[in-house]
Amino acid sequence: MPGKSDHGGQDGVIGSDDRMLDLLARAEPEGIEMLYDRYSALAYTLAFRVLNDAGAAEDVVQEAFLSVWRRASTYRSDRGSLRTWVCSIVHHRALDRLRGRAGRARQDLALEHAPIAVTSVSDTWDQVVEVLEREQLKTALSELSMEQRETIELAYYGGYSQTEISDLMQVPLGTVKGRTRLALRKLRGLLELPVAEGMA
Amino acid sequence: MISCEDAEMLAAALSVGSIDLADQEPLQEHLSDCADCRRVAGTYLAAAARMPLALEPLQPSPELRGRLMRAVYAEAAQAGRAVAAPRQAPWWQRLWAGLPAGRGFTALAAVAVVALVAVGSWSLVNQPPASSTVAIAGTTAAPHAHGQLVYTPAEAQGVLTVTGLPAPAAVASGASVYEVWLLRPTGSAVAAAFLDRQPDGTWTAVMHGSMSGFSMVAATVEPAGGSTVPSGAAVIQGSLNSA
Repeated sequence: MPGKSDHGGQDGVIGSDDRMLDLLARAEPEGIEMLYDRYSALAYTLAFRVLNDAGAAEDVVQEAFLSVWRRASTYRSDRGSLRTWVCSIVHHRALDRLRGRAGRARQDLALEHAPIAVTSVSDTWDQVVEVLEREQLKTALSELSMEQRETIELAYYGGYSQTEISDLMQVPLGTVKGRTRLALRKLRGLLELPVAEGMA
Repeated sequence: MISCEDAEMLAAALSVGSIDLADQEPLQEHLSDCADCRRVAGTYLAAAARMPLALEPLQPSPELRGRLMRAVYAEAAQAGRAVAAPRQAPWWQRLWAGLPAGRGFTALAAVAVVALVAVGSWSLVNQPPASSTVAIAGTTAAPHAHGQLVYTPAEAQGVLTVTGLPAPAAVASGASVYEVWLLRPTGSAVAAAFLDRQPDGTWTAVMHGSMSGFSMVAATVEPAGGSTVPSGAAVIQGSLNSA
């Protein structure tokens, strides 16, 4: 049975990323094709969850992968996995797009109303890993208190700042900061993330 | 400077994208001097980046991959990088025999045949030059369009750049695109690429594969997603015999 990727040790994907990393480092377009095929669904899911707009989400995903392509030579595997890097770029750009909207209009469209809600993974083992990881995350998130979970979801998907969350939840700013830290601590522990996954 | 405890709290906020503007600089200062907090911040970032894994996955439209890769290959070409053909080069497997059916395109095909007889085929087999440049002109449908096609035989790649081209007019079925075709002297057409609009208003397309045996390049207005054979009005054309 094949093992997990050893880049950051957290990608949960099969096979070595060496070839993809090598191609990316040499600015070969094939590298970004491989990266896109591996992470585009995750990137799009995240962007859509933040923006609730299929067109805007695709724009963000395209911008993010172009950014990865242009900055690929700066990537350092010891600072985190490729997936973390891609997700961070997509997340930042999605939040930028969200915050740029007039009046910060938000639509609370349920995710299940997304226009394309099907995933297809060619490799059965990849699919199994994906399902296991999703279950692990769901379990980890369910371990958080309702307030902690709401706090980090308002932040991560809603794009609200700590001060805005304080206003929304009608709790002191210090409480929001504390809940965020506790939530992240718990998540980190439940997911058993090693320090090597970080960006030290 | 803020304490490590405060820095940890701000790092958690940073990892989920909710750090207040006023807190960013103090955190940055602290992290630049504190390796322990940098490690903690990294673990928070990694934990937060896993949150989307809990969502039911969605797929972007298939067209997004094409748009992204056209932009990537165009940038690679402009940077002078040697690029391999895409793993799924669509046009390379889309060869057709027979003459095109579109009205505007039929005229272009006729011109192609005449041009072939008059000047001879564009041979890239014998001692190919480093690169060839073909002038591109607009048709009556887009009289202000003009540009060039730069073909590099060693890389089997052509980069088409066009200016003065308006957005493609909608077709009966809805949205439309500019599809680029390579014409053989016989008049048969091969779909080569789509023109992509760049931020500066120019249109670009990157074509992969040998252009040997083709006598013209043209672009037509086609329904979004492209057509298997040219069906709309031609907007640009260029004779490969002039290279």
